[in-house]
Amino acid sequence: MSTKKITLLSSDREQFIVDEAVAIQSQTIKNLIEDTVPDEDGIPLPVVHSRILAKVTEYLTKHANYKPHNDAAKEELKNWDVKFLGKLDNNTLFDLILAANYLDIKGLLDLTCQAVADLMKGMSVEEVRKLFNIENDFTPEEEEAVRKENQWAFD
Amino acid sequence: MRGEEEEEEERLSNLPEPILHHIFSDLPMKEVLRSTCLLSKKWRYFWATVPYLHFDIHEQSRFPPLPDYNHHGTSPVDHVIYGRHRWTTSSLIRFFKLELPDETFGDSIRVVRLKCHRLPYYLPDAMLSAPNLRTLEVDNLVLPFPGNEDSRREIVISCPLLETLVLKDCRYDSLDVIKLSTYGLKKLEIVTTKYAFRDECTFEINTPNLSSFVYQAVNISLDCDFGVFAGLVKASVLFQDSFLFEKLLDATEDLNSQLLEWIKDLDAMKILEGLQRVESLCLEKIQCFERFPNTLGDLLASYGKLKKLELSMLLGNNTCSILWLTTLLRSCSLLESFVLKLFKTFDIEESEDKVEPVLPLPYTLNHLKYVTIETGVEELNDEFEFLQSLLNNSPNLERMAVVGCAVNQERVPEFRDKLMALFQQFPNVQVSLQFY
Repeated sequence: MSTKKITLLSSDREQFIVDEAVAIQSQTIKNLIEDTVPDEDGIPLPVVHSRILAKVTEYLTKHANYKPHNDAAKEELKNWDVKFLGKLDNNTLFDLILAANYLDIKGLLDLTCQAVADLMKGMSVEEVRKLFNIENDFTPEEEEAVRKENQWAFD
Repeated sequence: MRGEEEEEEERLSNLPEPILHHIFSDLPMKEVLRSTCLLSKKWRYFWATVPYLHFDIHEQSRFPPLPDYNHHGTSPVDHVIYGRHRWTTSSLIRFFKLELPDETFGDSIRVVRLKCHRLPYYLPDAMLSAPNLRTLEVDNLVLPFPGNEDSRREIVISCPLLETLVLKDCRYDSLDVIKLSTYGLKKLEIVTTKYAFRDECTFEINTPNLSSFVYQAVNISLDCDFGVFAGLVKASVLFQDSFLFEKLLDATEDLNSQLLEWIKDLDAMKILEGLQRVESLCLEKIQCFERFPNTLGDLLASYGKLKKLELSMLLGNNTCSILWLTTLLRSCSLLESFVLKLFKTFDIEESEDKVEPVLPLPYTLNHLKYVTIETGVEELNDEFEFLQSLLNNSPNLERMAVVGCAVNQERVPEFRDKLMALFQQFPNVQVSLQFY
């Protein structure tokens, strides 16, 4: 059986050639294939940079070829996901979240959002601010007031 | 290329709000609050916008009154609800019961997960028709009930977008009937583990798109066209045990046929009769079928897609063998994964009417790849024979795990040695043995 190939075009006009079954895990790409005439070079994805699209196609390829039917296979796929995430720096992780959101890939969005939540787990407020470059614009008095207002969460 | 200055960007804070909500969607509200409210001014009230309400409610009196709101409700739920909506009147404690306010199920709320650790809270009427609710999972709460004492005590759950409903150890105190009329419902779980509340109630289920159903509640009866279960891909069903024994002791003559009739009348059995597309099936406490392995076997044989089967059974003095399970496996020719959990039950009076062990009939499971057996029983010979029979009849088996929690520790080494010797004959099978 021959599989239909789809060419995806990143924002910096790099081409990614993947099986249709891989590509249509993205609801957005699926809609684009159905509703638009592709330009000669491929389906344009003007908000996804090649650096990120490479990651997205890596994820989609793995998940398209892998339909786990039992716990052992599920475990293996989970391990693959963990490794996949482990290789990402914070900026790439956020770019990937935005790409997964734009491309409407539920699995990837869940995975990357969960990764951000996991990063924060067990961290102090100060550590989270540092991790995500959040500027503290509270005065010490204000901060104390907010803490008091939400005291039950800190008990 | 990314410039250095971009490194300093507040990437998290700049994400669109729905994505931020998604990031925090699995966390309990307490965690959301704790990890965000102090970050910066922008984050101070972020928690109040999250459409996912997850609460573990431990007690209602530990929390100090809030400075800004002049009321005497002081639970964390109270706090969040009030904080979110800036309420200034009323309290959770209405009519001497702990009731969640209607706002828990306000227009913006998509997911509610509530668990009460001590006193159960009452769910508000707004729960029944929450307009945007997708997921409702409640553990140890009381369902709302109609105020009118004269009428039939029934409620209708009709949230238009609800997809997942999990009712665990809920109290149905004052209800006779709960009608489920949620067209899009895909996943339904009704579970009762605490038998202290034996309040019985009937569910009328009218949800044509159900694909996953867990029914583990002996106090709940079902009143529906059992055809609604024909679409189930995943099902988990509990058979009753204690009632069966009562029936057994009551029965004076023609015990078997009475018992069979009674089994066939169980709601659990009626669910099973309707399953055609099920791929994953879990049956709990199936010891009542020991006398009638074919009754269950014939049903399983009619499932053309069954790939995963999990069984659990209690072994008491009446149930003397597990070899009859091979009659069931014989009916599941497409099975890929099989899990068996065995428990020893309390000793009941020795019955004179013991069942003869059923000898394995010939069968072959060409697709079976994964087997897990958990046993907590003294009589290990039976398990051995059963395992041996499985190994001999599953040519493509890849993995087998045996987890034992033996009552009689002295017998374990002997059993383990026997198993090891057996497994040596099947070098292609990856084996894991664990004993406690």
